[in-house]
Amino acid sequence: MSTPKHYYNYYRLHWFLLLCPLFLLGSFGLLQAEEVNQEYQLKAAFLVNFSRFITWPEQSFSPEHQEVTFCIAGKNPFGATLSAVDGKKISGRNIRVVFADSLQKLPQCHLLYVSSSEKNDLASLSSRVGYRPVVTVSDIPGFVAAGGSIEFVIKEDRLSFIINNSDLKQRGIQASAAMLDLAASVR
Amino acid sequence: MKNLLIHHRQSKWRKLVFFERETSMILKRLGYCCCFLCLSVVLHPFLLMADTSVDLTTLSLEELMKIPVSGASKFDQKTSDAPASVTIVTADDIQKYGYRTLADLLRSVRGINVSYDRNYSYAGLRGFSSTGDYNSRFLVQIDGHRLNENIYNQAFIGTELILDLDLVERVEIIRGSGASLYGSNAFFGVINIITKDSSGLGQPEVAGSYGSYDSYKGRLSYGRRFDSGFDLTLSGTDYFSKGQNLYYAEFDNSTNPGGIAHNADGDKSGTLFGRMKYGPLTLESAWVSRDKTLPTAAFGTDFNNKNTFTADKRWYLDLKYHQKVYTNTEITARVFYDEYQYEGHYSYSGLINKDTALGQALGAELIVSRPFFDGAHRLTAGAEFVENLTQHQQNEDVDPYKLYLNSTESNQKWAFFGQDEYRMTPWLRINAGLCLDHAPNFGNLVNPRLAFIVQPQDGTTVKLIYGTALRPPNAYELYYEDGVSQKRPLHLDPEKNTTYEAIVEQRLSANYRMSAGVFHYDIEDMIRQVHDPETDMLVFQNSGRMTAKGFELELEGVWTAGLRGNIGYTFQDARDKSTGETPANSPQHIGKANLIVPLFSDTWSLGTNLQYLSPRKTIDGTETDAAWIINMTLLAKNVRPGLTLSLSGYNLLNQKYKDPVGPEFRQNGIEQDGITFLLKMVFSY
Repeated sequence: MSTPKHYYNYYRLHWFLLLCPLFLLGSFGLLQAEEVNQEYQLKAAFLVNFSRFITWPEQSFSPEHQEVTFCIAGKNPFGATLSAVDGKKISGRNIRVVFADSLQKLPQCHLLYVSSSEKNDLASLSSRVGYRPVVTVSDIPGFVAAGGSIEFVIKEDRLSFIINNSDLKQRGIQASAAMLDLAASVR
Repeated sequence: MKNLLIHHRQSKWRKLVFFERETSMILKRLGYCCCFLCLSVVLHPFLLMADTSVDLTTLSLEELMKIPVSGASKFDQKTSDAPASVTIVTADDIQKYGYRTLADLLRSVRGINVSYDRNYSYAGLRGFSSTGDYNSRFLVQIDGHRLNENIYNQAFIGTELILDLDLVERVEIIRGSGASLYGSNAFFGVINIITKDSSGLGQPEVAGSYGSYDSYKGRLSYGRRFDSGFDLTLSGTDYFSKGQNLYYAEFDNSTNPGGIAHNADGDKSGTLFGRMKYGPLTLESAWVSRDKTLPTAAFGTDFNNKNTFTADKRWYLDLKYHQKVYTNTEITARVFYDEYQYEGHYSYSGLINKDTALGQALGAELIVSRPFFDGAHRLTAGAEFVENLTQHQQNEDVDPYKLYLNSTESNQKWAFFGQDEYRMTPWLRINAGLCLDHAPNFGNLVNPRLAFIVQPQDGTTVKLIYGTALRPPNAYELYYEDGVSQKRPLHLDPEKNTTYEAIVEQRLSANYRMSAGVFHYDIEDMIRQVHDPETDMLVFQNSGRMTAKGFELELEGVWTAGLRGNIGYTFQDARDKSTGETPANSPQHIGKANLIVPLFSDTWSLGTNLQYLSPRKTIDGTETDAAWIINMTLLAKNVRPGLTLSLSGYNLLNQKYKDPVGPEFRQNGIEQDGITFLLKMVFSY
């Protein structure tokens, strides 16, 4: 029995259909690959915003260093996004951005972003930071549970954060009520 | 469901004429689908352009929290860190792809084939999809509570699932033997269902849907976290489907002119779910009752007779305590009660044979997990005890009354398990697990598992996994006999699965991730039902050795504003060692592709599933046609505050394809649904 002619067309079209999404995935990747990861642009904007809501104790600033220091520990996921913030004035203070290769080489910071490259080294974080007035921020899952101050989480496709207010209080740092209200959860 | 008769098979009649006539219609439909898909994707970048040029640092926190994210970390790190091949399907996927049941969801997952015999749905993985094993070789859990009951060890995945899929936060599909941590049902894989927390549901939330063949579904849910910290979730669902009038060529004869089973495909189910959380305590309960009429005349019952049906009821109560003590030690303890009731009515020349089962079990579990040596080791140890209070099976003719089977068992089983996750160097982790299972009548079964997870650089993960699973026969396999069609085995041994897998996962760019894997499964003493020529009855027997080898490839993409998709291919070659034959219902090629395209704004989206199954062998040696399935869902999320609408089309090509079935059917395969639609509305207050 010969196979009906339609039979062939039918199956060829199916192959085409299965390859179609692959092609689409490919073309979109090329279109978007150059773009700096939008998620980290968003996270950088969050960091800048955090500094609007957070009050550091006066003694954490010295007469010669009145700026708020952002430190990035580990591999920089922000591209040039965060460097663009360097020198910007927020709530009357300039922002200074410092990059450190790892947690081992940290200068004096107000806000410390721990890159996911340091996820195996979190144990040494608490010993490095101690009880100094430093807000630690990361997107490493379980960061707050491991003693961090703020953890980025993604909820329903939107960026949000968990805040460890008792940790901040211990460090003499005050987070405004508005910020606590916006948090996904407060510990 | 378990009363078997053997039949002579009629030769397969293929509806070629019908097939040809349908083709032009299908091509037209296919054209529309394709145009729509391509158009929406092509237009997409223009719709997105607007939001990339803004300097995000000038926006307020509130504004930032409204922007959808995409990017590398959206690839769930859990799947790379897990010592297995894992797929995670989220609530968002469920909504955007329009999955109706867990079976629907699994059909879209790489390497899984699901078959449906118009009674229950059965999952297959790695080339093994035993017809009529009631999913006893998969472990299905809800929030860590085992769903497999204690007689057939059946896990329900179709409309008989105990939970409405709308309540699911995510589903984790873990391939391979998980016996070292999860016990004997985790023979081929584990399916973990995690429910939404109360904030994921409205106060209340109402959902209603209407679909093809007069299918109605309604749901009412309420989720609230009170200021005191008390957290409450309640939900109820009612489902009814009239079903179809189905044609079976095998029964198209002078007694049944036309060969159509009228009104014999009805499906009715109701589920309830409740959860209370306070501090470290969680009390959870779920209940399902589901009735299905069987149109297929399975088990040699009368054709075109509405009196053949199965009724399943399942419920559980689970009290869990989860607490972190001494800063880094996690304790989970639970006590639970499980019940399963099954009643099947089978009509033989108008006389009703009643097949029933009752399973009741009480159990407790304790798991402690704690890091040691500065976090280099994480040890998890646990113990589980289950008292099988009742395992009752009965079979009788109703009128005139005749009892064929009355078997009641009760026993205890316990298990100890331990796992160490050893972070040897920053780039090498070793995951070793061991489970000691004490099974009634079978003594102690030991299941080890060893995995090496190598992460030589950020974005690359290599996993090498070895594991074994010993599954002792269940109460049904051991004790069911009716003296007519099925005989109780004199002796059965546990079956043993030894698995080897190697997986490479590679992030290709911020937007792409690829995974590739090879696997080898070796099953000794597989428990299968065979025909005993001496007594002319069916009997369970440890019959020989099965192997499967194959490979898998998957490419995932995630882009801005919620555009995402994946495409996967699985090659699998399963064989019976003694005959060299491929078992029934084992497709050699499985293709899956899924794509979500946001339209206009993030309110609208179009979700598309493509599925391919190569021809599968049936038990009489013939082959089913290949199946090409396209499903599409158009979703409008929060189109008005709180209102979500969706329109789904399933099997849009209207493919006529069959799933192979077991010897309890006269058909060698059961034809699946053609094109169907579903309109759904959710309103959240």
